[in-house]
Amino acid sequence: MGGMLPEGNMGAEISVAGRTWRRFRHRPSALLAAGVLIGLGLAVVFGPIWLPYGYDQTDLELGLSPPRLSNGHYLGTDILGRDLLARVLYGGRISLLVALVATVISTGIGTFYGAISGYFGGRVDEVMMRVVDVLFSLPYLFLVLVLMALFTEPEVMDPVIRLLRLPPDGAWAEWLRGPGVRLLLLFVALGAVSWLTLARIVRGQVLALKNEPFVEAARAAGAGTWTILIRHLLPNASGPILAYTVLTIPSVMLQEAFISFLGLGIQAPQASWGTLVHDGVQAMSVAPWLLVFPAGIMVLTLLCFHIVGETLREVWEGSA
Amino acid sequence: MGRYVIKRLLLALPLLWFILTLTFFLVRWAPGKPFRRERAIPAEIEAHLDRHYGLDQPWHVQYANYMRGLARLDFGPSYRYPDLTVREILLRGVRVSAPIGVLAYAVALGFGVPLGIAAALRAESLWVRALMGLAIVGVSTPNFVLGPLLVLLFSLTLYWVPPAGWGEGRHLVLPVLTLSAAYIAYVARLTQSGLQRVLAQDYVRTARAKGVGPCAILLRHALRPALTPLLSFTGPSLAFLLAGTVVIEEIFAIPGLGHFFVQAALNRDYTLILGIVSFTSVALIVLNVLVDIAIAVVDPRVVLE
Repeated sequence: MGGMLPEGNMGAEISVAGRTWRRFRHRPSALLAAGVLIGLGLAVVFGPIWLPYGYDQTDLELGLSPPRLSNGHYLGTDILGRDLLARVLYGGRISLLVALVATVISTGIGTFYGAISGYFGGRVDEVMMRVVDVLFSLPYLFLVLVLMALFTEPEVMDPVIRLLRLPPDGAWAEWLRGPGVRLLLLFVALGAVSWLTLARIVRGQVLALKNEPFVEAARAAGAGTWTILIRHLLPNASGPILAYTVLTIPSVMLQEAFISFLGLGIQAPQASWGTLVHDGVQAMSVAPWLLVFPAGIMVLTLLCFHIVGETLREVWEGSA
Repeated sequence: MGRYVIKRLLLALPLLWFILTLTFFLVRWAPGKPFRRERAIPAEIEAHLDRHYGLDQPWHVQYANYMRGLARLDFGPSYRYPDLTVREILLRGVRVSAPIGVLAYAVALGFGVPLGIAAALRAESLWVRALMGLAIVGVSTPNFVLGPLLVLLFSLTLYWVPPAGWGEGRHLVLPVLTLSAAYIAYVARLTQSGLQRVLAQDYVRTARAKGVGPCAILLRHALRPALTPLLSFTGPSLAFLLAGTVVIEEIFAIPGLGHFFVQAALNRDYTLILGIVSFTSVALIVLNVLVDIAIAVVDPRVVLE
């Protein structure tokens, strides 16, 4: 499908964003998915500001109220009378935040690792890629679960608090010892295990590009290894990197939800889509809306990220 | 061949050692102690418990003891289930989890491969496109969402199958269906892309030019090389399948390995955590070696060295 797009001679000086957009805009499904994601992102970031209810505001008189327009709880309430819409939007903030931060971390590791492996080649490459093969077959989600179960204690954050020179009984320190531990651990753990595919992709790209004349020219002009990698090779590989970065987001999001669903991730009263689905499952025979709405919005988000990512991948495959 | 297998397994040993050591120290470094709970226990009793389980010794002694035990397949006692050894818990769990995983994988292959073939051959058919669209939705639906939805539909509304439990054949239906759903989609897409690539190759064109029928091309020439990506995906997918069983067993209240793992993690049952991680690592490493061998058998271009 990628080949039928009008390529033509578009000149050399168009940015990656420009080139991506030129190919991307002919795909209605991908445009729709991207639009939905932007809408969801805006709703999640700004929605809670306008909502009359906080995510942790309880109203025991209105517990388990089904969705209705008349009482202002458009998606209903949970067993403690908390507004589901507020919780879904707030949970979305956490889910998206974890997914984005962990993806940025993993993209950094994967790009760095793959670029070094591809550029130096030979024995270095062999060993580094063998390590990736091996890591691929590890039960790494088990390791993340162990980490989340054992290290989410307040005192884990003490070195961080000392390092940042925060007042030990200030609001920041308190946040770090409370919900902050879990959030930071999720960032680090999920970021550290999600970079394998990207490392392979980047290595392949660098391997294919490193003997091109323009790299030769840069080297002849006296550019060092890092300059060549950062200024010349990686920008040329940025299309595929972008595609796989977008594809990493839903998989990280899924892993966060999985961990939170098992009760080892985000904890009440904080919420993520994983914990909301978990609460929904507990209540599904009496209050199906508590399962249907969080699950629906999570599936929609994952689906849209998949569609956008797959389209970017098709658009960039074989073209870089 | 035999030499290759031995070499691969020997190479796996340092990896295994690495995982076990990493987990051992992760568990040791963790804040908190295995016998500290919400209800405080007297210091003498805690000291006695620590002494009984050898936790009062320096870490390198504990490490050596643990490794020595592992070499004899002795994973030590469970801290939380005092009348069971970790080995007994592992055996109980595997006997429950393995059938679910194997069945789910078989179901995924049984549905996914034909669907992928159909998608590669009849890409423009409306049916195929609808099914492949459904496959994308399948990939995007987490099993912990799908499972409860299936329970809601088939157990709580239609009363066809029990919502949870273990022991009878009908208890298997929903867990296996839930676990395999995402794999059907993966398998179908891998088969489709693999087959499309093979069908575009010269030797297929040659066969076609010689007058070989489409069925013979597919079965005799194209399918085998087309399935290699599927086989190489088996390693990572087994890892995911294992993670999947964790969720499935929580949802359907199945007393398998995943269930014990979550309990162990929540209870800080050190030896059980270590036992389950080491067991799953061994299983994954061995299965990956088997997969590599299978690829070489299926695809004669691959040479084992």
